[in-house]
Amino acid sequence: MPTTLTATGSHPDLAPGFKDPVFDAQTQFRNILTAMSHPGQVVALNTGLEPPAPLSSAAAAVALTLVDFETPVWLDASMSNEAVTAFLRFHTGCPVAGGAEEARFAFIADGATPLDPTRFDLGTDEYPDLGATVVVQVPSLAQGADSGTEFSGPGIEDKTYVEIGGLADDFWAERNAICELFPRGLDILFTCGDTLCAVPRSTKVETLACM
Amino acid sequence: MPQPSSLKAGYNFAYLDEQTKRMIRRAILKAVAIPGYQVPFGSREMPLPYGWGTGGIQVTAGIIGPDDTLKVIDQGADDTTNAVSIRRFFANTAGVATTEQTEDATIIQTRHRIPETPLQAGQILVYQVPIPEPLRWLEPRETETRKMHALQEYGIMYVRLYEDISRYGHISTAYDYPVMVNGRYLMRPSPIPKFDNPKMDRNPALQLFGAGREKRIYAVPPYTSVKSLDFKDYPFQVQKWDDCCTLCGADDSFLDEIITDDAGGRMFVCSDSDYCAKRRDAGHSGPNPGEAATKKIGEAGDAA
Repeated sequence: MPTTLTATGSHPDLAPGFKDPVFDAQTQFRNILTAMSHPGQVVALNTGLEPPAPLSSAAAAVALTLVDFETPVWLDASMSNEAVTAFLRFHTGCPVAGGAEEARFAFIADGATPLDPTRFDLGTDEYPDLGATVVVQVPSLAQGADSGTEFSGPGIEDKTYVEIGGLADDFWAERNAICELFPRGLDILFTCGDTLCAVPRSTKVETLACM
Repeated sequence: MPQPSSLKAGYNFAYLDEQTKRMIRRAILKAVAIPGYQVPFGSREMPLPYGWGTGGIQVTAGIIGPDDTLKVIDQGADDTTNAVSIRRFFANTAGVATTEQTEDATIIQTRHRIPETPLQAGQILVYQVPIPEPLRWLEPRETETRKMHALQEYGIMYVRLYEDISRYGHISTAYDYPVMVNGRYLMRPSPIPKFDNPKMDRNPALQLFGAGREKRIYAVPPYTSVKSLDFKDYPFQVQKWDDCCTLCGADDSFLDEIITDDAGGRMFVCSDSDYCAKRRDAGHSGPNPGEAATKKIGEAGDAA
């Protein structure tokens, strides 16, 4: 604890967290719960956060809402800078994991980098809830009409379409490959700016041919 | 910090501390991501005993915000001790609006019933669960039941239902009837009557389950398949009554039998008090209550 305080105390540019930690965290949790219980629904968070780059405000809201000293956080290479680390450490007190496999929450700065899902903890058959939550930032995220990526499964009445920009080519192939391991798996939260869209492990995802 | 006027001083919003809420919130999200799987969580001591809804209260405390409207029912009724005290607990510690109207509530905490009024998308139903593990009375060891869930090895439950049929000619389980969630996890729906089981299937509301003593949270996301276990030649059936509600005349709701005297007199009334009151307000009425109250069970009334 003293090391955390010293490290952040000496950081002059530390961005502020939630204006009201109790009520903002509750509001954002409900937004995340809405997203998680309606996969493929793009939810606007209105976080009011201005986190250090490249952390998006929605990704920062996820961290401030759900992360604390019990949940090691892993940041990918482009996310892992001093400002982001200091921001997360100060506001959440989370340990920053050395390797992806130790993380409860992982933050990927750009969906164009390969997901490589098996590097994360996927949980066990007895305790699948230990599977990591992976936040993937993307350059564009919008509800699709009949195009983009087709979601179906629990939480979705029939089918939902989402247009997710800038993902690595084999992102879905890699993600769908680990669906065979269900109930083990990863729960993915896409963020873009202030918006969020969840893809829990139970969701069936099909990519439609580009127009 | 906005502080609603009815808030009791000295407590954090919704009673629990923020770290506990975060832990509960993480458990809820994993529960939603793996429908029907029981997520272990660090259940806290609450200011009421186990068995009075500590699990449901912790789940509600984890999700509730100042803009929510809370309804609490106990066996369908809004006005029983458990429902009244839990509703007051959240009015005091979270300052939220409370209601008895099913359609006005954003969060409904329930003990042992699902409201008769169909739930809407966006509503959250929080169940109080005494024993979350459906296989517990068949296999006492947690290590074993965990393995059985991992391997989807549920034959033992079918054997139990089969034994019912061979002994009684039908499946005698009338409440807490086991269900299969999303074709994967066997789940205990909490002690709701099996009459309510079909309402869980593809329900547009989010259903969360909290077991305080057993330290488990599980969930059924909206529009998720929930199938009651049965056999092809013994399909799942809900209970039916020959009578209708004495007060409102409903023949489609779950009825409680009320003994009215010591001579076998009885009447049936809706277990869902909000549903019954709404029907009466709309002008429905049942058979003459006086007449129903004197109805005898067989010849019990004549026994000397």
